[in-house]
Amino acid sequence: MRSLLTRIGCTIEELELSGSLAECCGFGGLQSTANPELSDDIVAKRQSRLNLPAVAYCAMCRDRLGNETTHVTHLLDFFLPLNTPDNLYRGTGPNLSERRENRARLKKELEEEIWHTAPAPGEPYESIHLVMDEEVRSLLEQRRILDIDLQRVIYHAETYKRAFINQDNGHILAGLRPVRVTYWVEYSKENDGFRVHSAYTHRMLVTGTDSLGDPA
Amino acid sequence: MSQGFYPPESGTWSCMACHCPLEEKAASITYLESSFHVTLLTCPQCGLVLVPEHLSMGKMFEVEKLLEDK
Amino acid sequence: MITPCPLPSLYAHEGVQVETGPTIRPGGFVLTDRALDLCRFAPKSLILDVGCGHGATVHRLHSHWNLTGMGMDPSPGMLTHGKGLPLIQGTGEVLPVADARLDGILCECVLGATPDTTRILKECFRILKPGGRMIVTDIYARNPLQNGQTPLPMTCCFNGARALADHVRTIGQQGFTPLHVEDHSRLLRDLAAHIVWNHGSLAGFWAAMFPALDTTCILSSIAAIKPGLFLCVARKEFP
Repeated sequence: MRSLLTRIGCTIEELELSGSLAECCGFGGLQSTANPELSDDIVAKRQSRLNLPAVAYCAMCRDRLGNETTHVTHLLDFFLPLNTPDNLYRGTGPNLSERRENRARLKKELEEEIWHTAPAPGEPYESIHLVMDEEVRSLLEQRRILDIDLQRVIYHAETYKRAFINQDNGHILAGLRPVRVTYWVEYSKENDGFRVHSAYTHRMLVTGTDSLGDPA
Repeated sequence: MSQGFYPPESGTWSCMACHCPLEEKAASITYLESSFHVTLLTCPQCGLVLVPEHLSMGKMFEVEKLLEDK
Repeated sequence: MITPCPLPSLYAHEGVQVETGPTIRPGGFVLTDRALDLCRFAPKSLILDVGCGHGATVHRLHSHWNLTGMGMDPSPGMLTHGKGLPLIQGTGEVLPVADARLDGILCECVLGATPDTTRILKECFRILKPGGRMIVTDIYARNPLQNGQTPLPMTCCFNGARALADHVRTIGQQGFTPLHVEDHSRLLRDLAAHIVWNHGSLAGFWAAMFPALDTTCILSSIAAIKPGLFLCVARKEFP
């Protein structure tokens, strides 16, 4: 990594902790899932020691350590001719749903441009437009809930009228179990979309709740 | 014997399809060969059951963790 | 004769009985019924329940299995609940029964809670008829700790939890032939799941049961051994 960077003219300054003492984001070992507090703490410490733009060769470190102030670039971005040096991506990493959408988009592009296979037809629930504030977004991140999970629930609720309405504020509450997890979302209609107020999940099976495959 | 009644923490909820207020009904919660008998708000007409957030992220989450533990 | 018992007993605690039901053990009658199904005793066979508590199992021996059940428990407090049942007070170490009298003995979640397992097994062997069956259910350790294990500060079956093979070997060493050894850990997990449901967490349960004790320590000691539940049916062979 260091010799590749030197070869293209970069000057390297080693971090305080490197080599066998290097602190990384821990995502490869799923640390951010197993122990989120410790993981956030390590990431914050690592970020505080970055005085220069940094280079990572792990995609998770890139996304966990990079944000609008730390400027972390992935090594490959210097060598793959997709970006000009001035246009290197070094901002905040994608959230859980964006990460999944990136993978779906990549697959679609590969299908169209490389493999020349017909892409799978889009699902009707993908047209459900979600709106939410930052607080709800971070709740979804913490509870590992994807936008697509919520889109599926709302589409099911709106199509089959399988939901509850709170008479006090007009909020709608609906649940759906696509496979092994039941997702619940509290939402309200807003212009041409749906505002998400909260969402939660359970894996236990509850009688009288909907699973995919047995609509009302 | 019901192991508790778990209504949502707030709100007056009714069924979107049937337009009727919800009633307290017996429901079963099962997971990995364990079952719990509870009382949940249910639509008296179509039988749709409401699982509130505090139950889902509270007792149910704790029991899921215990039962999944090897 | 009453064994001095300076420690609080897990079984005598009303909160524990609320969770387990009248049998005061994981699985309720599921394991008892399973064992009796395996044994196929003749009608009216004489069966002693060692550590019978309230006598719920003794009652079931009569009502569901057409057997002649008797119960024995060291705690007079427990026995007062079993009015009208043939229950006697005593400990497993000295069973007040003549030699070779019984067709079967139930010893459910008792061995682990008593200091001298070998002595109880010897007594059971003595009072069983040749061909009689010894039914043992108990907690075992899926991750048995070596020497240095800190016992819990109470009378309970987690203290005697050893590896399953150790339990079976001890039973065999007293002259019994193990016929069936079954793992029923699922019942223990189910009991734990219901305790968590009712108390929010296992820590909450122990804290509610024994406010004076260090419940964090109890919980981690139990978790460390990875407790399981087994059933062993063994036979006293003909000489």
